[in-house]
Amino acid sequence: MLSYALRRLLGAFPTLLILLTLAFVMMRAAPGGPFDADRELPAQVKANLEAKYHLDEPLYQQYGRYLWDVAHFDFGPSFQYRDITVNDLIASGFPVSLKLGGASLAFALLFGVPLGMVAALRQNRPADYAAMTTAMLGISIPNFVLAPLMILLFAVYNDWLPAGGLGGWQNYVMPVLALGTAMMAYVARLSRASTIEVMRSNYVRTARAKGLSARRVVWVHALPAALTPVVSFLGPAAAGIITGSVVIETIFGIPGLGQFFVQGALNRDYTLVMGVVLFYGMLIVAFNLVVDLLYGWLDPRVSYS
Amino acid sequence: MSSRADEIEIASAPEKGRSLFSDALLRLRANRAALASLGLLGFIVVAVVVGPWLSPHDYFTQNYGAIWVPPTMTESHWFGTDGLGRDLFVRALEGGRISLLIGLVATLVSLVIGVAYGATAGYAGGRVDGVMMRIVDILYAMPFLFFVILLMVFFGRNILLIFVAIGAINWLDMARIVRGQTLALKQQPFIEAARMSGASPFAIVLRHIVPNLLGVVAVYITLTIPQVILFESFLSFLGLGVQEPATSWGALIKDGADEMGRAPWLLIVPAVFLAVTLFCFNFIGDGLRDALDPKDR
Repeated sequence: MLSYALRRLLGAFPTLLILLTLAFVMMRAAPGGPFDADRELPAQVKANLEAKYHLDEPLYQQYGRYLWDVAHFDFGPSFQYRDITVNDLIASGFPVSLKLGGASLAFALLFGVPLGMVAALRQNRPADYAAMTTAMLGISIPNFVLAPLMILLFAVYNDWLPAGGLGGWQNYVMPVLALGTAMMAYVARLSRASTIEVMRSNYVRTARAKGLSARRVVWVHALPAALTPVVSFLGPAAAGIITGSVVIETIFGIPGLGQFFVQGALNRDYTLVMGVVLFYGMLIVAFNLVVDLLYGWLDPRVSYS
Repeated sequence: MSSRADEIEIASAPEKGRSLFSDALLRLRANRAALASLGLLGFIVVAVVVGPWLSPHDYFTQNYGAIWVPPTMTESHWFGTDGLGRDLFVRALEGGRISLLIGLVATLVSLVIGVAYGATAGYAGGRVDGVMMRIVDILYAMPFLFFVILLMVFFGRNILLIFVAIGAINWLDMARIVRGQTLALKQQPFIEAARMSGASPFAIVLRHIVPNLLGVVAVYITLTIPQVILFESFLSFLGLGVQEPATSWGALIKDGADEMGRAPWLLIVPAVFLAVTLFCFNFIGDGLRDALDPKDR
């Protein structure tokens, strides 16, 4: 298991290296430099600035420097916010995004799994159709549609929830719903399909034949197996939550990483944008590894040799 | 599904067997949700194509005499107007043209790349397959959406770039699915027969493998189109998609969200269009998949 984890970590290096190279190439290929202000800077000032950020060096040297810094988890200075490093920005934005994303994922699992299992246990009956139509609606209404509609309903027409910003738990209700609903719908569909399959399997039939109660069969025998596809969905789900947070944070004015990313892209703060992309890339790689290890723990048929 | 009467009928008429395809078609026809979605989607497509001509307005003319008009039956602004006095009925349909067009074209791009890549990898097998699929694995881990956002910021927003960018990142799933199917097909006797009769690998892939992938590919197309539409709307919502005065559903939703306190119809109309279209595509894709692979029934 340990050697598997190590091998997976090694395997992640080419991925991250390509990611970093792509990021670097795009950053340099982008038209316009970070110091092209509306007002032309004096040549000497510009030269000094470029020297300070090592922009006057040959490209391969800059690439090497960037690689070296990122290997030390140093994403460099932000071009937009002077005297603030990208690390500072990530450190201030990530906890907020993590809270939002974690709550959304929890919401998706806590509601999605029961919805899917209930639908599966009442297959082809009204409860099933209702649950699956709900799930389909959840998948079909994008989060950036759901969010403004909720604001319209809960903040503009009725003064129930704050429309944006960060304060108490009330500020999280709409963002979490907006971010988690599609995920919940996917989880419900997955757990429905896998529960149906598991309930037909031989070992569940055996458990029933032994005379176990229906509840025990479902909770002890069927649930862990029915959850495995949901677990493997967590990898893509995390990636989806990360991209979703970009737009949700912008809509609700939440000062997380996603909003930094959009602001950075619009302000051409290349180091910030690349830092966020790389950080998210690493996060996704790490998360996928954790999910795969969890998968093996849940499903004894999976081995890591 | 098949009643006794069916079986007897088939038994008495052995020369008329049911192919996999007609079987699937029957199952699809029994799926009322998918059929209703197909009808609704057809209606939306026709409306989007024909609709703008039915209105006396066009999508870009600004009319400061009629701004913020709520939906009304009398003044021919059936869905109201925006802050520049542009007619929302025409703009919503015009936006639909762009959204659907992008969905179609980008899906085609990803289809061509994905099928070519997946079929090649699957048919070649061995080390070539290993390397090609490893590349797909690596690309999978890339946060492409971020790169597309960056592309849009750096190189301006043009529709062609949107097509190519979305198509170019969406082919990975297609390549995986096609490769898996090709691996299975390769073992079939008719491929062996084609090889024996001296067909070149290229001809075998093109003439014998690709046509047999059509079922899977059809399912996948109906599931990719809504993804692409969603993705374009996402970009447009961030202000990075199509540019004014051209519009798409995502761009309209963004404009509507900015003004929803004053003119909620600007948000609700495009939101409903987008959601209903995605809903239909997803139901059709689901129905097709169940019809072709009925193990979960």
